[in-house]
Amino acid sequence: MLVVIFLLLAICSLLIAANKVKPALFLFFCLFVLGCVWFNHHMTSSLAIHL
Amino acid sequence: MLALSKRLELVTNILGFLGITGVILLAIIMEYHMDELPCPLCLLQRVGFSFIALGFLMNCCFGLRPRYYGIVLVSALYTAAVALRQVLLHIVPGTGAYGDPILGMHLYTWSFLLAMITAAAVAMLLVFSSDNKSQPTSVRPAVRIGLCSLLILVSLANGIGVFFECGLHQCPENPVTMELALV
Repeated sequence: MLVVIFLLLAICSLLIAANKVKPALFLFFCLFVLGCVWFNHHMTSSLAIHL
Repeated sequence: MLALSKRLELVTNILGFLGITGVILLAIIMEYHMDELPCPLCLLQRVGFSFIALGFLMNCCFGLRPRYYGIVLVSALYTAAVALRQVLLHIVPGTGAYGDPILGMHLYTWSFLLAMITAAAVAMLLVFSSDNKSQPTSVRPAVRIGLCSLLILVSLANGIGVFFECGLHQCPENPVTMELALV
């Protein structure tokens, strides 16, 4: 998942370099949701160990 | 009321972008130089800082807009939440810590502080931003390509590092060795 996120981050920077405003914004929000999902996954999978 | 000129605001955004990218680069250098493999939460903090850098980059390339400042703010909150989660994991005495401290604090504590400082700084920029639309608000194309290339390189370096550390599986909680070691 993290490899995909970093790859999409590079693509988002590429879209900004190409001056594509709407695709870059859309990709950012997709990335942000992915980041939140991954953080939530980490929280729920490690809560049982640490709490 | 006191207001920043658009040019000064743009320079502040460029400095913010370079500062945040510098922090991610420093983390990558520490990973290889000090043999400190990043844990999953450390990697998520790098993702958060990359989001912040994207917000600053949009401001620099597409022109200064409140929506891009919003991206920086929400990304700073995300980074702070991830860093705070890691601080809380190690806050109880006897639970140990991850990595060596730098200047008396661990990297995740620095990460939390930096995210909160970024959020406060961007909020102040929004307060003092001017409404003057006559001044240029984006960088020249050559600078835009340079800034974007920097973030592309940093993202790819992180992606390659994660691939060698974890492969295509979920990263281990306390990584000791690279999953796909070349030597």
